[in-house]
Amino acid sequence: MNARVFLLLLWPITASAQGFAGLGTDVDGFSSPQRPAQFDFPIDHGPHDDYRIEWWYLTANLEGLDGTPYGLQWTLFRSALTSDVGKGWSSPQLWMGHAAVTTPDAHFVTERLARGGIGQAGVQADPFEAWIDDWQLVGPDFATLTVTASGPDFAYIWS
Amino acid sequence: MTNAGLLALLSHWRRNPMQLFTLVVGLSLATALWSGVQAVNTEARASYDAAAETLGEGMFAQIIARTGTIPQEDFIALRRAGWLVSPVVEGRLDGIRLIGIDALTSPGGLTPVGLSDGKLTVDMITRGILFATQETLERLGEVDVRKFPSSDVAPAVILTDVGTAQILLGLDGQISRLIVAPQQPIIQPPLEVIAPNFELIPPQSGSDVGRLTDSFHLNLTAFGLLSFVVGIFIVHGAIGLAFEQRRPVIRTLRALGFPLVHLIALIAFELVGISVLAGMIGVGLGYFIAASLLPDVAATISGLYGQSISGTLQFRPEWWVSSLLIAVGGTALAAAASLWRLACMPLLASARPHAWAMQARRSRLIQAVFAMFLLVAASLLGWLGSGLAAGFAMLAALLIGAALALPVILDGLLTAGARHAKSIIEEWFWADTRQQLPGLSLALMALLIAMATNVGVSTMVSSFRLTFTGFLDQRLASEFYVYADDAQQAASLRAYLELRVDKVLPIQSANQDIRGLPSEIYGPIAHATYRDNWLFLDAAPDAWALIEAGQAAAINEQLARRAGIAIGDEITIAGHPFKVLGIYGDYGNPIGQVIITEAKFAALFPEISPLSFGVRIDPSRVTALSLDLGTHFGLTEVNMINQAGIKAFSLAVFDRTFTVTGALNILTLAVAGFAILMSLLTLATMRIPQLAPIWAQGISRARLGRLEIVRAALLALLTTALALPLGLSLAWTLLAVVNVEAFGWRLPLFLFPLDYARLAVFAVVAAVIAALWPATKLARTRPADLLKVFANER
Repeated sequence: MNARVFLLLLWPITASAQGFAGLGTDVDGFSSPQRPAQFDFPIDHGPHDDYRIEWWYLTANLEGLDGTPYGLQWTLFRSALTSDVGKGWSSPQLWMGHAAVTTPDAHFVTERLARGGIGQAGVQADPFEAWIDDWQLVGPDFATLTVTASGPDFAYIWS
Repeated sequence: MTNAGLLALLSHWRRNPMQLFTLVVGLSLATALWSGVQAVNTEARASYDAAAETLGEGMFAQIIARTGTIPQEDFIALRRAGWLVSPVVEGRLDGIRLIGIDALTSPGGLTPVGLSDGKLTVDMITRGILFATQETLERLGEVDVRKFPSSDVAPAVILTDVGTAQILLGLDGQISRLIVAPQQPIIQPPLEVIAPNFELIPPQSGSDVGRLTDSFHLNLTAFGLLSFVVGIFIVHGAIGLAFEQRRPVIRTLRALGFPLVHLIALIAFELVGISVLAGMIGVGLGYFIAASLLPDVAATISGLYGQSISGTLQFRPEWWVSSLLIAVGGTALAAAASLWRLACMPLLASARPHAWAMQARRSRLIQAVFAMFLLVAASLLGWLGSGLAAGFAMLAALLIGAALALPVILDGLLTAGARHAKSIIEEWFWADTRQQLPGLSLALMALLIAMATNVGVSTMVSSFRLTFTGFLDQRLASEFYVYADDAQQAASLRAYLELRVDKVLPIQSANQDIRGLPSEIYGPIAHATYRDNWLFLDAAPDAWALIEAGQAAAINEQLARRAGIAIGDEITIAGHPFKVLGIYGDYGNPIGQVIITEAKFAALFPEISPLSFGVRIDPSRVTALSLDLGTHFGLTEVNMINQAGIKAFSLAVFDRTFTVTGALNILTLAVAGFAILMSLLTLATMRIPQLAPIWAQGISRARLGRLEIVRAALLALLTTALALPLGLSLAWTLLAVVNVEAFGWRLPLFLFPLDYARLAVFAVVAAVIAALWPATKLARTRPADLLKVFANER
């Protein structure tokens, strides 16, 4: 079993009833969301490294110029291996990007993995930018976002 | 019924334990050599696989910087431009290769070891862990990082995370190279646009080290197969004999109503049982053979090809299962003809065992035709074929063709001998020897093959050694070699030496790929030492003058052959074109080599300055000079070596390289010797009816015994005489075809008459010893037993 398969198991891909593949359970050292929570935007659009997992998620139903319907999805997950604060390569933060396109008769999907701490992936609150490799969700404000993703058999850019 | 039938069949072995012994031991020996070689190959291959998987060398395209290391920002920039590349940081830690990778982005299979342990993955990323074999970790000194032993990592390599490697190697923010994932996104800017200083190297195919070592393993496999074939000859003989002798039992069983199909199934079952038993013994023996050969194979591989393989053997199912299968398969092959004959035999066919010998005579013509065909094929392959496969096919055709021709040739020789017989007893001797030939021919074929191999391989190794020694004398022309620790010391050392010796020859080299092959570029100064001693195998006129003028280069033979470079072709060194004007022999070097002038070298590789020097000096002054340098520069034994020292070391490496070949050679000969002994023993018991009439006519038993010994010696001598030309053709094929493909150099053939004479004596002595026991048995046969022959005559 190689690391790739193993790491996939770490990720909260399937939000099962038991709670995010076990990542929803309490682990010492991480913060847990408390009620009542007061959000502070735009800062809270950025990452919260003291929490174990979080993700930035966009789905869209689109129509082509010829009337063909398309489904589009773009997600960036952040997952921390430990609650330590590591710098550079020793950062415990891992990132996974997931992108998909559906047409009436086909489904395209691809993903990316990246280490935190080296600039390969991350999220910046203001001006908002979430990225992994060449994929990004970016814009001066949330009304004018541009989203890009690419894989071996499809790519999209939409704004 | 099955039980009764099986008991009846098995009773044969109880009455002929020697035959059972021959069968089991023959098969075990055959399997042992085969499985030993397979075990060595499997172990080596596992090492290469581990190396390929963990290092990603050869499998994937890579990106390197022309200027050295790649800044980490550039790696991020490439990723952010849509290039799926994975960072690798490498260097040496305590002289051991340390490789840092990123498990998240490395292409499939490139991850270190089995990371099924989640905690280990987390720790590797956040804290750093060094993965290596136990052996490698023990060589590593004190480091502040956790060590984790794993047998999946290639030998002599430490694997860790990129970040850990950067810290340990002092390469903060730097990447050594980038591995390009095989699948890239459909939209991607060209590499030149993002990083103009980077170079994309396509995946290595063709002539990488893996393929080079393949040829070495093919050599070993060929040897294993040869031993197996020799062993199967024994098994074939033993099974054929057992079938013949069991004819009466089989006839009786069938006459009693035992169905033929049932009988064949029982015999097949019995043979499978015996072969599995013998196969298991063979695998056990093979393990010991492999375990004792492996350290030498490891030394050979690293000496010849610069590849590391593990020196410890694991009991891998790949080889022992295949060895068991080949034992059963070999037995099936050896028994197929006998089983077929049994299936076709009429119910009440004659049960006389002598049908066997008659049969052999009838098939002689077919055998001769087939032998001719194989020998013609061998010469055609030698003439028209090219490549390693053709070389080995030629060897196989030659050996098998000659083996098949052996009985025919021996028969002819014996007939000729009979014509010169002066007495009746002599005439009987020749005729009787001819009559025994069918029974002995399998063993003699085995002996022929084993001896021819011995002659061939020892000629090859000795020719190689002779050429190599001569080559060392030429190449190591300087009387004294000295190595500086750093550039500063080197400069003052050079200045010091210039004033005191005849000539100082700086030795400097750079590593470069020439036409995709790893090579070393040397930049020697112009001096008579090179002109006089580096003899070209092939060169243009005035080659040295033009090379010294800086316009041209000389390359070694292996580079010329592997890259297909001929005199007059152009090669590129560090972006600069050079015309190849000379090709020189460079035996024992695994990689390519190029010589250019010192001035050109300095221009192309300004960062490299020579650290070692060859010193031309009167040999009598060497000792004084080394003492002088010791006091002046504090140089120790490690930094200074005289010519004799290097030569001795090089020859020691060379000799170790061929230890494996020598060991396999002797084992094959031993198997053949065993075959002769067993055949003679079997024949001795069968021959009583033939000898009884001679004894009855007044020839004493002692004399009959002596004649038996003479006969064995004669046959061995004749076989040796035939093995010699065969062995020399074998040596030629090895030197001119196989070596060229396997190592990249062609060697001249030398003859070693004394060695051949010794081998002949050895063969005759072995045959006499083998004949001694049956002959003594014969001489001691009670007259009553001899008389019984007449009473029981069928």
